[in-house]
Amino acid sequence: MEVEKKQQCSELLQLVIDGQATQQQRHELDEHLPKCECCRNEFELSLSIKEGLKSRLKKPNLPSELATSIQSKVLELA
Amino acid sequence: MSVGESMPYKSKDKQRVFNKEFMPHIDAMYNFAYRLTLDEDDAKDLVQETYLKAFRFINSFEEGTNAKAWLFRILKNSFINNYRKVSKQPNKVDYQEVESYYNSESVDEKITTDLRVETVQHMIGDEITNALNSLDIDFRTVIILCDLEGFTYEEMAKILDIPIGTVRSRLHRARNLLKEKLVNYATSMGYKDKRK
Repeated sequence: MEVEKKQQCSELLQLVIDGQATQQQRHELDEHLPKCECCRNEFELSLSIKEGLKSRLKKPNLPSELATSIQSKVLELA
Repeated sequence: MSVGESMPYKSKDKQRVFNKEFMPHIDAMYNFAYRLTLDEDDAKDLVQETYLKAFRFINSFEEGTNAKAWLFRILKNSFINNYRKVSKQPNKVDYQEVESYYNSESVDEKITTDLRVETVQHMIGDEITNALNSLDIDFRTVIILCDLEGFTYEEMAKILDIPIGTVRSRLHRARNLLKEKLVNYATSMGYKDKRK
């Protein structure tokens, strides 16, 4: 794929994946993906990484006393 | 996110706004702080400091506007001021280098062909966490804000004090670096590409 086109596609993919694309941009990508295996692979891979980050990243536990501690310090400031 | 436009709150309203608008975000704030500092105690201190600052400057917050983005911005600035200068994080990213990297397409091609969706799907949380944590702080931050917290580019631009174009290019670069890390993990863990 030519350099400029590839870069445009990468930008378009990112916009769609992040929910920031316009309807026209989404349509443009829908038209392009079936015709380009390279972009299809990149799209699916990027989606799966985004999904993995959201669902499988270990979450730290919020310390139980933190909210109470903040609220009592704020009361002192008020 | 506007500064100095709203009327000062009465004393009792400050408490009410604080509890109603700010406190519900404490989980997300702690997550963000932890992913920046990578230390539970530092994260706790950072969140507490951010909330106290938010209370002190509550008159700059307009009730009903985006409290989460407003708080994240304060937290990010506090982190830069307090932790970054004493941390052993790599130096600030050279964005000239970033832009030139962004403009070269060869990187994407290689990473995409070296990493498969199935491989990513088989990775456990630890591997993805390690890959994310190993990124430079500026790159880690845009991924956290976008992929974990779901901020829009516009919100990210305000939180980070950078133009939207920079948000997009930094995010693009951050994702390529993350893919590189995941390729390395996949290789070291012995994931095989079935096509080869």
